[in-house]
Amino acid sequence: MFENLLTWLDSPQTLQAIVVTGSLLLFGIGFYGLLAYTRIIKILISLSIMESALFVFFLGLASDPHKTAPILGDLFKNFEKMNDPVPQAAILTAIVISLATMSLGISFAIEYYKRTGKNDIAQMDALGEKR
Amino acid sequence: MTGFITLFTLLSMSVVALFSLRQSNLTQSVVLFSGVGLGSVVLFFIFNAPDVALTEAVIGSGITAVVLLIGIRHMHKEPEIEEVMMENRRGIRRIAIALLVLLTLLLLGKTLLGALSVETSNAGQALLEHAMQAGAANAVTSVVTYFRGFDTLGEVAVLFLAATGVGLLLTVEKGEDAIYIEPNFILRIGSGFLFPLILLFGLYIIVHGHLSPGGGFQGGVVIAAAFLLLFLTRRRFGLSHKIVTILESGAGMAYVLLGLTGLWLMGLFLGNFLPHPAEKIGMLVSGGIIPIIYILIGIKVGSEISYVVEKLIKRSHDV
Repeated sequence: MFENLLTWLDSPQTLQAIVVTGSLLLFGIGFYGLLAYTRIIKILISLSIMESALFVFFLGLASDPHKTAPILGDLFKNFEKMNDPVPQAAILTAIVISLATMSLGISFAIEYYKRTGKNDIAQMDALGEKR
Repeated sequence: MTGFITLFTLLSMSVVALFSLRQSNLTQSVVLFSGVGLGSVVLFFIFNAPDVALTEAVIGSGITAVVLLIGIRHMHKEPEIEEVMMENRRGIRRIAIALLVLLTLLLLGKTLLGALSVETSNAGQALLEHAMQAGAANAVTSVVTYFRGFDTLGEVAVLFLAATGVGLLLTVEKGEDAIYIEPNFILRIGSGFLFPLILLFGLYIIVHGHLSPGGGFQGGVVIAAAFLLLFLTRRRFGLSHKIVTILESGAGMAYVLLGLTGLWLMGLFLGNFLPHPAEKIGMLVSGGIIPIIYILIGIKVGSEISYVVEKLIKRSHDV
């Protein structure tokens, strides 16, 4: 029974279904955080969670568990039956860029806090908005 | 087993993400958030992407959490109870919207699934066939530094712009506003002992980028982490602005010059003009210009991220 369940989970279609629904669930949680919370750190965390979900979605659909990582070694002398390296390279660069944008966002938030003492978007009224 | 691990990890990532958002204490929230990054490290290993897993471990769940924690330390006002209550009330009001959005996303996922029964195409399969000619054992490195080397140049430029922005924003006119707590004996001695080891590890990751998972981006961030340790434990320690400028701009210019040399000698930008025979694959000196490019990227990323971390910690004027 349990073995059957495991083999069913391992089939490519189920795996794809798990990746798609799971990463969309994670994306939805990040989206909820983006809407529901007002402190800047929480918003940045929500954005990062959404990014993580996107990376998992992208790589999970691009990879085939029956192929190996695209790196040659003692047992792999040729680039045959290996996973596609292009999505991996794309996601690698995306992760690095996410760090850069995150630190830029944090420094904006710090500077705003040092000038106005506010770290909550519900309280920001620098442009004369009514609260 | 793959399916079970994927399902379990994704579910626990979702639970941890939800808990991280529901925390009212921001520090706990960030620590839980780095757990989400840890979950995606596991997933990337399962998806046969060790390069991405290493990057996510170093950046996604490592330095990102540190950057967020530094931000919290600077914005150290504790939220008043009333604020948190208001936040939660808004949360409850918006849960309905979020649930609706989630439902739409799930429906979208279900329709996507119908379309996905066709085989996902392999844009990189053709590149993989040519990867032998690039002469690097790690195909991801070949793609990042050689086949898509021009894009990587643009990406490094984005990193440079972000570092410039951080430097521009976090400049205090007078004095400094550093995060610093007097370290105890063990931390002070231990940081001196660990600094060269972490630096060595970063250099190892950079130099072996064309042979094994890792490379300039990951190793550069590890080097920045080594400097982070020194910023936290030594009050007077600071990067020399001159050396950082020389390293950063020198590496960037060397990258462009390498590309132009390839254009001159081989007729294409970043052409591999050094010898890179296929039988030398797996040796430390192999792959022509690929390891050189990754070392340049490592120098550039290492100096940029170290600069960003120093700026975030010190907000000082003369750096």
